[in-house]
Amino acid sequence: MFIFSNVSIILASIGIILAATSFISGLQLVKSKLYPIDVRIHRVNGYITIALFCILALIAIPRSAVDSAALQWPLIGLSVFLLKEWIVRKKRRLYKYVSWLGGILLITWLCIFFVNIPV
Amino acid sequence: MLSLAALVFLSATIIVPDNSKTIQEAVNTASPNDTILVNDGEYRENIVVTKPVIVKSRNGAERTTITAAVPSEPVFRLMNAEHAEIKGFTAKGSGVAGFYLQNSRDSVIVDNRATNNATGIFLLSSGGNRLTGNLANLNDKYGIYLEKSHGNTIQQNTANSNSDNGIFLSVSNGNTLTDNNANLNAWNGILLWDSRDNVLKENRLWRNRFGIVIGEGGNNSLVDNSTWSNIYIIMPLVLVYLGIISYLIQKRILRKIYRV
Repeated sequence: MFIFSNVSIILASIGIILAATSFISGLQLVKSKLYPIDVRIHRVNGYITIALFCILALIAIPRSAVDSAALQWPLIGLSVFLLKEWIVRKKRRLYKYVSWLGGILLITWLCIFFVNIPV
Repeated sequence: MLSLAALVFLSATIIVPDNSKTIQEAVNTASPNDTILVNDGEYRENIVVTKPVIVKSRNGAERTTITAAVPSEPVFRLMNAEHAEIKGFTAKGSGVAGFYLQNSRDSVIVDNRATNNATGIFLLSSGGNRLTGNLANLNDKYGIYLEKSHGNTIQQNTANSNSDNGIFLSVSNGNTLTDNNANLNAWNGILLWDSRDNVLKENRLWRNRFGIVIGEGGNNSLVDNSTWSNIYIIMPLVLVYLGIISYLIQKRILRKIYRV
């Protein structure tokens, strides 16, 4: 079967690329504090991945009764993203853990890729 | 040749609901080798076939649905039948099975759909039958289940998203399973239990808890069955690598734009 034979796997593939880009720029930010170019790359790629989470969750709703994992993983990704945002904006003393959450977001994308493999 | 011509000449076609109101009525009135042709529509019946007749829909399973009138009975039951054929129906709503072959031989189940039953297609003590091109998805237990059934051919069927096993052979020997799909099942794609001399060839078993499980059996032959293609292991690594490349490209472009 052709690997890109459904929309979800295409979006998941794009998500992995953007999440990896955002993750690396995020690591650079942690290392060098405020570096405007990395801030832009991190935010733009990050927010697009959030939009992709929402689209994938919407696509998964009709088949969630059969394949609940396709809905669960985007929701897990959104939850991790919201936690990360909350830490960045409100809990600066937990800031050192945001790179971990970035890593978890990247792993979430890998899971989304695997649950959307066409069968 | 002469006998074949005589057979064709003698066999009649009964059309449901034009000639008979129900499919069961048509089966009861049919003589051996007759054809029962069912028009499009939704029917509510439990059909028992005991003689060598062909029961087929006019326009395929998408347009001809039979729901079990009595949920504790199968939708189609072939009992002690030989050389019967069931073609092009959607069977649903049975607490037993969509298609149930009991002590039946050399019969054909082709291009049917069995969904939302306890078991999609169930063969009990039946041999030499052929199951081809059927969909047995979304059933409460198994997609296709063979118990004490030997020498059957199961080819190009799909048994996806069932709540237990996709295809389950229990105490069944000498069956051939070729080119079937058994994906997304809650437990095993294919389970062979106490079954011998079966041939499993070119089946696709993706995203089940286990692909093929063999318990207490022997001398089964497994040839070119596939679970995941290697591309699905390599592809995420390639995508992460593309992400790194994307980062470097974006950084270079933004540096030029902002002249940093």
